[in-house]
Amino acid sequence: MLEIRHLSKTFKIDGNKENDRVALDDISLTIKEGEFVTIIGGNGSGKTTLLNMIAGVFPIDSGTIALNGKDITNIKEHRRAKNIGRVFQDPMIGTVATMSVEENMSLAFRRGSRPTIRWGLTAKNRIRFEAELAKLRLGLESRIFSKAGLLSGGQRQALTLVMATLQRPDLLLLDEHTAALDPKTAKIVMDLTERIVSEHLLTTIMITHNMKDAIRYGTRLIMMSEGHIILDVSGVEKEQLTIDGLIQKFSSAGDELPDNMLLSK
Amino acid sequence: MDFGFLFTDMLQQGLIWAIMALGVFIAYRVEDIADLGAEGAFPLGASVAVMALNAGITPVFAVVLAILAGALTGLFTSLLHTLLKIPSLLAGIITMVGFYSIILRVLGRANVPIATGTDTIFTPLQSLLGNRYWGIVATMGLVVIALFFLLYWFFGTEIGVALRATGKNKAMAKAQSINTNVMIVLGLVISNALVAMSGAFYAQQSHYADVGMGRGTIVVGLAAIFLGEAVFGKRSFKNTLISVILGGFVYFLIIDIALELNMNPNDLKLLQAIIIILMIAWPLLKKCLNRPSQLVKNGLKKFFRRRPRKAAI
Repeated sequence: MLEIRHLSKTFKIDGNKENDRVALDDISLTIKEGEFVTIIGGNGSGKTTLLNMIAGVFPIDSGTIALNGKDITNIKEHRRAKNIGRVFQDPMIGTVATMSVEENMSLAFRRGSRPTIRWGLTAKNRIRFEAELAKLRLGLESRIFSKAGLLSGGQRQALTLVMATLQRPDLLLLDEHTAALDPKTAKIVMDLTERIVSEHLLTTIMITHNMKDAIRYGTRLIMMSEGHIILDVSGVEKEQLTIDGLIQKFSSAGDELPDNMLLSK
Repeated sequence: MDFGFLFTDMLQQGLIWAIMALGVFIAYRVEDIADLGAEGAFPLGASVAVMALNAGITPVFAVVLAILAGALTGLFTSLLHTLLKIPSLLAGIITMVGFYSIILRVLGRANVPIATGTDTIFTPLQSLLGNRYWGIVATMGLVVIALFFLLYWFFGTEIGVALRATGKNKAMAKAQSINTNVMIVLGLVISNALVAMSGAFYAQQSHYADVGMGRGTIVVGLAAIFLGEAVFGKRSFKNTLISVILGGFVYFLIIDIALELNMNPNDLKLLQAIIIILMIAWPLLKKCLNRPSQLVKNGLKKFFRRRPRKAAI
């Protein structure tokens, strides 16, 4: 499904070699169809960089990425988006604030196909959009003409989630998509995520720094530190993971546990 | 004050510059690019139209040629920006400077009048209505109304919505598989084509083209956008389009009143600058106007210190 081979990425800060920051160091990873992978790690562990490399936001230094057996290493971000759905940490990024919910959804509905000069908003599509929004049970279906900017952060994340899956993606990338929300809203969005992922049987990668979420959701857990994968468990082994166990693994990797992870314990 | 002049000049100028304002609107508001290349597209459109008319080409085709020339400036600026990664503001300035020479090449000298007795785009309606002035207003009215419907339709199509998304949120646009570079090129081509079209009409109204006639034109476009949005609102895309068109009238009303009050025409550019400053600072000024009592009670210093705290809530 997703094959990552010897992926490396170094960010150059000021041209001085000693100041370069290694974000990913020779990462290899295979994700199978239908897996729901949670990635956990502290700030600067490389987890967001890994997701951005998969989505094609920046070019990689070395290595290859293949999706569905097709090498996508040199394919541009907007072309990869045909097969990849994304939800971002910042609720402002997933939607266009000055456009209506319907217009935002019409864009997502066309994801992967070339836009035409047909009028984008049709009554037929609107019924489909309303049905998808109704499934969220947040009352968004009655706000289809509202500008997305008028929605709350949680509502915008829920909308982005629906948009990412309106055309079934081969791969769903969630970049700490509940981190900017209050705990109650974060819970609602997480539950929606789980429902949507299992309903569409989506292959998913979710970044989080919430250990509880990382353990509770998904079928496989990967822990990253300083550009390396330091833990990769799935199946029964993952189900038996505890927060204390995770902290132990973290310490044994010689990594200091970041504050934001401790707080979310 | 000559109200007849005020009204007629406002209509005529407002309609011609409404097209300019629509062009600047697409670059500045929709694509979020302050495209100074418009100051090259305007005189280029005017020059191409005048030379085409003088060469005996029919007025409609002369305007089409001007539009195509404008599209070329937009293409040039946007390729500088997307392919060569030159910052958009700089790319526009480069276009403006570079096209100065091209406009001189087109004209052959700095200023070329339309040969006397040559038909312009306004001639058919002028002879139909039997009035030079109303002929221009009627022609421009039809063009502007047609453009409004055309643009409103276009920005509702899939490409149009993708274009708007690109200007507002590039990360989202890319995640929805939109080729943002293509959209930037398309947006600037349409924008500059409209600006050049406005230049072509302006040249036929004033019967000449001048290499320097682009100077300050983007400020007129921006002023029309700001004034229109402030007076007529920007609740929806349709509402904003109408506001931008009507903004041209407001702008020329202000300019004409200033001229009627015996303002020195040489000071007009300064007035333009002041209008822009006032319009951009409008949200801040409105706060002052809404709460004058606070201003009197607390004084300027305290009044402005209150703002950030208010905004944080």
